[in-house]
Amino acid sequence: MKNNVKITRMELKMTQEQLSRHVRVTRQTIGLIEKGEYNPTLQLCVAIAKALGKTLDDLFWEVR
Amino acid sequence: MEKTWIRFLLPEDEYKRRNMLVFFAEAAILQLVVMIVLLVISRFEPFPIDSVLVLLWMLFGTIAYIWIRYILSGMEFAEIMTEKAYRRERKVIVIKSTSFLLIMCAGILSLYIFGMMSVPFIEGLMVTFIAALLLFLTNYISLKRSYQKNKELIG
Repeated sequence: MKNNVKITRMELKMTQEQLSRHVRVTRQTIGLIEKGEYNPTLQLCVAIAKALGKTLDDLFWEVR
Repeated sequence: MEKTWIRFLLPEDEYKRRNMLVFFAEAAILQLVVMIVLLVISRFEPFPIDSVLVLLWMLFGTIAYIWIRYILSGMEFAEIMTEKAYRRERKVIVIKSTSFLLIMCAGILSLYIFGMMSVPFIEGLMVTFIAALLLFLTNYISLKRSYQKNKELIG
């Protein structure tokens, strides 16, 4: 699933490691989500959205 | 976290946890298929193999399947992203395997000295060497797969 996680994270000047620590997953999981190779659970989506200060719509809704 | 009694076997990380559940499920289905095949065979002709041996092979096969899938998945070393971290971890694996080999050799030697070994000394050493080699190879393959996977995810 394509998403805006990477762009948003980079705008906030946050590293993958920092985000992974925030949401308590591995850096590999964050990398896979950003690449669209892993679909996170709703629980993790919410955690990522909170960590990045965005809504689920901003990050995951109909990304082109 | 999934509501299951095997929670204690599952990792904290969501991606790893999901994959581990898949590996467990695959192993269980394979085990089921093997059991059905063995049951069908046993109905037509007297079974030529000892049933305990069959159970042991099935146990070994199930564990080996999950283990191999885990190693090849490249999930174990999820934080190894850079060449430097890869080299450092490789060194740790070499030290760990060598330490294991030396400690086991010392253990076997002391058992032999005190006459507590029922098998020949050289056999004990060979088993230890094979175990250390397996430990090194599995860790090394897992590290290499993890690094290859993680390299493409850096951003």
